[in-house]
Amino acid sequence: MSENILNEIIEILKSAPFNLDDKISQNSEIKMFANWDSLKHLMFMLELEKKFEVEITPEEVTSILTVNNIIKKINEK
Amino acid sequence: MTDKEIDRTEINMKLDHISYAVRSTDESIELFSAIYPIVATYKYLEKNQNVFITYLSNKKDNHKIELVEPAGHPSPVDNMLKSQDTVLYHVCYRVEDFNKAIRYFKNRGFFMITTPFETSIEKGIWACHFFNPKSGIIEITGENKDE
Repeated sequence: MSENILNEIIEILKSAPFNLDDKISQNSEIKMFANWDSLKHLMFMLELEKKFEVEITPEEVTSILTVNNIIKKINEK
Repeated sequence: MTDKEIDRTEINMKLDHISYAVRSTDESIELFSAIYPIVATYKYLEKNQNVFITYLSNKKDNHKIELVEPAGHPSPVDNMLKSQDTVLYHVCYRVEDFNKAIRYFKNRGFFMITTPFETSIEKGIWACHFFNPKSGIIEITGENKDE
């Protein structure tokens, strides 16, 4: 289950507008992705909401720091 | 009726202000005075956001210009002002039913980026911000009928 979610997260990050080439694992820190900024972070959160049909609160925007945090959040729904 | 079916007219949304993030309120007032010569509010401290708010208006238009200057750091406009003195920040709509408007925007793909808060400048009026890459940031303000 988590493996599938990880693959879907990777798929989002490798496509536009993120286009990441980084090696992404569960332990990856989001802010360490190449050329990452607050705008990309918001766009990523929006994509996660759409893809996984979860609601991400404004507090979670700042508290979700790793890919693992995202997987945990999605598994909670 | 589902939230998706809420009609825009039900929200009764009106343009309230256009907001700029600014490094220097005074310098921006000077520049904008050619179009908006009335300083309706000057550097009001909005504690919830850690910013100074200034409103400019004129006698002809119903909307205002909002100038948002950091009152300290961190503030929500810090990143925007890293490389520019003034940046278009958001467009704000006044709505009749704040909570209904939140559902309206969320269901249309807008992502909520601030937790709704009661503004310091207008008692009983709540505000929150939304983001979508195709619209930028928008703010809604209005009476929170559930409070």
